[in-house]
Amino acid sequence: MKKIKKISSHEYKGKLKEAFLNSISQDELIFGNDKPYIVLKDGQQVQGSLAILRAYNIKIYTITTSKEQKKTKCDFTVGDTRHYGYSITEPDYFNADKEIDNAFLVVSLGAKPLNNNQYYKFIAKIIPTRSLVYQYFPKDISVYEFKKETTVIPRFSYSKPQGFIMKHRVYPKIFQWKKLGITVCGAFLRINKDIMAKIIKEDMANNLVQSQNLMKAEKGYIRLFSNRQEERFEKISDDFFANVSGANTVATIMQVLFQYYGLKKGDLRLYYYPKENSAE
Amino acid sequence: MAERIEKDILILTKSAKYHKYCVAGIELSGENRFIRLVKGEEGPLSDDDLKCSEEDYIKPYDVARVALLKQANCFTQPENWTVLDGEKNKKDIES
Repeated sequence: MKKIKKISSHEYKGKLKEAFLNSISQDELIFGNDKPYIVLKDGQQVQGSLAILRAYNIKIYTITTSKEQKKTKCDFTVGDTRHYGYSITEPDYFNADKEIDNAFLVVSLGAKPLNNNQYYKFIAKIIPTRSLVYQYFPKDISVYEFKKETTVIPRFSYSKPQGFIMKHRVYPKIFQWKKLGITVCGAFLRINKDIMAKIIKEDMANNLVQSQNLMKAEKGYIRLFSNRQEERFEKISDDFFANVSGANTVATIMQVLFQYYGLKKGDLRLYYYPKENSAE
Repeated sequence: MAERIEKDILILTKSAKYHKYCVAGIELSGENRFIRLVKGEEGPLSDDDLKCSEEDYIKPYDVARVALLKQANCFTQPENWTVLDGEKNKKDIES
């Protein structure tokens, strides 16, 4: 009786990538923290000991321990969180000294503690990837990169959104402007609520679109944010509503948030099909 | 006789563990749960455990159909499943 056998991947055609992508962690922390180990009490059950992460700026290096043993380590970033000093157990990278822009990392939690109930995390697989863009968006797609110095935002009327990337995190398969706007606002809100509160307050007191000369609507300057429900505004949280009624208001919201949150060039990109290419 | 459970797994890791291998992947049936293949409750697998033909061994990105004995009992690694180990089962039964 064969205990293990290789089967044709055709049997799962189209399902392998889906299974893999569905398994990627959305958490910036790994097993609850940003350290290369977790501390467990005796007998404490963990929720999981395997995770796939989408990481970038991966630096692989080798150290020599006090016992003259060589160990391969890596530092990497997930979302906004930098992780340091994880041991690599994938043989392909032993004694490597290299940097990788983007990769999926499979992290495994050790079964036994090394000392003081510290259970170490190991990088069990490194899967270098192409730019995130090509993993999630069609190759013929258009991209708009938000910049600090922008004052005139292109018109996006009748174009079809596909998603956005914010600080290396991908938000794909968003095909409606309203949904994209709500997702963008939610993503920024999670970064910092205080900045969002400041933006809402300033917009309600002194129209940001007007004061920053970003976009003039046909009947005057529109307002983007509110702390209460208004016509055309969608609820983001209990005290945060956004005017995500159209393509251009959503793009303007993205520009305002980009500036107020102090993002850098390349941190916020909108992916879309322009008007002439929009598939109906 | 031990019950035979079979799972199809997209293998993702074959990493170093006590001079053997930590083999883990994603179950392709059901909810695509993570799964780690172990000897006993948490033990690593050997080359022999991964031999799928005369000259071929299971490696990352393969889809493997694996015979399993049971879900292991490891509180720090809940994804562990014990691989079917014919020789060990035979000894258990005979002892």
